Amino acid sequence: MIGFIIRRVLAMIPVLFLVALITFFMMKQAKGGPFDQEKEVAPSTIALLNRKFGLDKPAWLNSAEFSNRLSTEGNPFLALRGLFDSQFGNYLINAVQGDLGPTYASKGTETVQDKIKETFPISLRLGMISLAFALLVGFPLGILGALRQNTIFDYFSLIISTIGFSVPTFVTGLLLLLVMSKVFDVAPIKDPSVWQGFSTSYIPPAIILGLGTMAYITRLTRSSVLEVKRQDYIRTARAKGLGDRVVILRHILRNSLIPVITILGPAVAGLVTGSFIIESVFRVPGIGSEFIGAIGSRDYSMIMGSTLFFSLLVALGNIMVDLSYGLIDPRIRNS
Amino acid sequence: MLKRRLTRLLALLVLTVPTLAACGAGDATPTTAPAAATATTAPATGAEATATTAPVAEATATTTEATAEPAATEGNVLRVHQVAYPDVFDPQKSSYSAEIVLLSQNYEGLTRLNDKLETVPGAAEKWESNAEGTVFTFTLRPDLKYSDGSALTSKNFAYAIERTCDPVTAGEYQSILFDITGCADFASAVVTDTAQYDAAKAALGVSTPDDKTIVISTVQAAPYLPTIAGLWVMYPAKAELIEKGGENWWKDASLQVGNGPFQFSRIAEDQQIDFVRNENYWNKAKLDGISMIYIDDSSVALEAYRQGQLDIFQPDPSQIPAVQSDADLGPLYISYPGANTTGLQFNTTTEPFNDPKVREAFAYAIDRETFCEVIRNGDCLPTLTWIPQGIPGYDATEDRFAFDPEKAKAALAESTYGSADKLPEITFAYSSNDTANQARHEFLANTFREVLGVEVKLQPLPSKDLSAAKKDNATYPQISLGGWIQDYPDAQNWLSVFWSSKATFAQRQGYGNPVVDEFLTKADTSTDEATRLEAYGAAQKLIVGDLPTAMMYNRVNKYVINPRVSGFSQTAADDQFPGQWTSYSIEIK
Repeated sequence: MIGFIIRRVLAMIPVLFLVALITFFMMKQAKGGPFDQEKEVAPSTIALLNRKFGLDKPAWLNSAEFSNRLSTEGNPFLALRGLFDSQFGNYLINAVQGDLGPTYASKGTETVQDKIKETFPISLRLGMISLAFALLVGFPLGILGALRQNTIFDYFSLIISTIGFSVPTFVTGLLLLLVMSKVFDVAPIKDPSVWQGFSTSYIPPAIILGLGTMAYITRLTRSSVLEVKRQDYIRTARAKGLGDRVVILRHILRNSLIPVITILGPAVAGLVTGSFIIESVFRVPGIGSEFIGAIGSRDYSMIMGSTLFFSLLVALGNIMVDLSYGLIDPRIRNS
Repeated sequence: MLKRRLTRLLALLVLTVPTLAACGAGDATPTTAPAAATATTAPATGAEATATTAPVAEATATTTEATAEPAATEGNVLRVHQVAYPDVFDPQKSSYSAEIVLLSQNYEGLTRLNDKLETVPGAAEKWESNAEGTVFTFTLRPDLKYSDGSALTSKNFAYAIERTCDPVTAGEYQSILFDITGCADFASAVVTDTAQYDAAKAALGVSTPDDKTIVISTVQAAPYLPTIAGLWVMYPAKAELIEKGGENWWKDASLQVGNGPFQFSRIAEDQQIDFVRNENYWNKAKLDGISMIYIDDSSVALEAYRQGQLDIFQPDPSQIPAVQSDADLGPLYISYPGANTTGLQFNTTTEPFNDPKVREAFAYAIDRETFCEVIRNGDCLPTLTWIPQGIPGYDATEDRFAFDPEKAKAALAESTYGSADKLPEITFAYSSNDTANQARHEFLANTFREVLGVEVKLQPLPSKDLSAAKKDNATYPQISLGGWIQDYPDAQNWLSVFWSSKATFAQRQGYGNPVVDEFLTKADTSTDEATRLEAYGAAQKLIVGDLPTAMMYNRVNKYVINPRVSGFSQTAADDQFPGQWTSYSIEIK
């Protein structure tokens, strides 16, 4: 078990490196830099800023610095650091040490890790509530739909999940907000302190955020339960006289969990990293808007930092999923 | 179809009702720590109470400062809707108006703007210059204090200048002080070369003979320097607090100790920024405080205004027709021209726009009235000149190149091309970041097609790509919309900074006119105000006539204001809230 975890964690390293490489490459293909704006900054100031943030260095490899150090020091191993004295090299070297660099939007006065530390707890709370919502509603709805197939319960479950799938969040979010405000007099502006720690203000955005996942879980659970229901061992269980309760809980549900758990890994990563639209409608100071804003403003370190952070979450989510397979299904544990 | 939509809606309501009920109950019963509980209950009660009493000022209910004014809870707090949360509000590093509006509440420069956008005494009670207009001596008001009671001296202002010019700071607006002797040299000093750095710092043309006096010398005559001395880069943030807080000191309200009419009391990122009145300010404000409330979704902001949670609401252009026709909101909606100008910018060095007659044809072809009223919903006012109404140097007599299809056709016929079909391909670039831009540019393209018979190719680009293309004359789009947003209300900022042949903006469009340069130099360096305005006027006439840009419109400042707010002035520079430059005079009934 421990060997499995270590192997999986080590396997994350090349994955994250590839993600960094690809993101950096694509980012550099986009035109314009962080200090280009409609209202022009003096060229001398831009040069200062580029130097300050190391953007005056070559993007990938600094061969000039390499040959420079080679001639002054002579030791090719020490000179190698010079070769990686580039934007990408320095980024990786700092990132490994936990420094994800300054955000350019703040003119370098804030770091990416500070931004993540500030906003991620809020998104994490929101994501956890929406995951709970998605599971607590989606799972029972799916089971209900499968056990009472082609009845009114099944159609109800179908309608709910279709809405969850197909209506975009900017519609459902705004609709929910307006209904709350007009019908129930819930004011749209909350005091900022409500987001520090759990509060009821998280519930409406969490529902909207969890709608899609909820719908997906409902459909997946339904089809999975339907499939298990027709297995021979279910017939055996019934034949030997087990009651409905035991058959459903122990034999059907446990075996139909696997596909649902498989999607939970990436789903959790998606939920806890927030959504720009939902954060904007419900004014949640989460991490989603930081992600989106960074791309438009060519905030290089923020783009790199948030992509790596997201990849790390997805990778961790998948490890958790693999571990939980073992808990549910002994066959997987033994293989 | 309708039935399906109805079932969807019903299903959604079924789904949401239980949680709504839970939510309402949750707001009313405090559950967690007392501090958080009072905070959550305040907005709810405030919203319910609007019908009967004045809304409770939830904004100042909790402040980070222990010295919160008891008066602040009486509800005399102006709640202002802001769209985008600013990236950095450090006086020497800020550059956007959403950042500057915050700083201008918290701090005050040597001078300030009055309700007519004239430069009047701020922290300095008077100033004088030598006969050449190259040395300015400012005398501070007696007994100036920061909001925390500590003394404010001329050294604090000298520090602001030094920090702006410092290459380590590298603020985006450092070049605005390059008129000050030694500032440009200091900014280009090599930081690692300590001797050079220190020498450049010492050579800065700023001295403080005593605590009340600051002397600033300039490279050449700069009669507009007193106006620059009131800008945000000159705000006296305290050196010791900046050092104490490090790079992100500005996020901490307790380190942003200011000398302005209000004082930061709480900074809640992406949510809300609160100010309380600065009791030590020489011209005590009437409001107890100001709350800037950040809502980027305009539908949410409108709903918050209707719920009585905002005093000032900035509608999105798409909401203007609905707001104007609304029985409640319509009478409360005001709009007036802002301190910005947009026009059709030509690349005057590429075909076909190197031919002035082609530029003339395009200028005559634009129906500015319809564009502003119909396409932009009244979000702008047509203009034919560069400096907007309400700013010194505005030319009310300008009437050239107004919409005239006949003259447009005639101009095209007189051009070297002779007719539309002989023109090379024309690309019209625009930023795709604002989704409303597509309709606006399609309208203009259609105008050129109908009036001139010219088929222009629309080219949507991400705004960063467009800015990158506009950085160089070689890649500058043939035509695109663009212009200027004022930094300070002096014709110098509008004309010399943009249109002098030495200015990067003019160079990018390939524009330069020696006669214009002559007028501008004369105006920039003259100490006589009348002479200056006359020379600027002549330069502006020439620029408009040369048509590097076909002037089109000024975007308006537009707000819905709760009738309980009074005492605000309206100036062209109010791009964040009405009366933002003289907020000390705003009152709430």
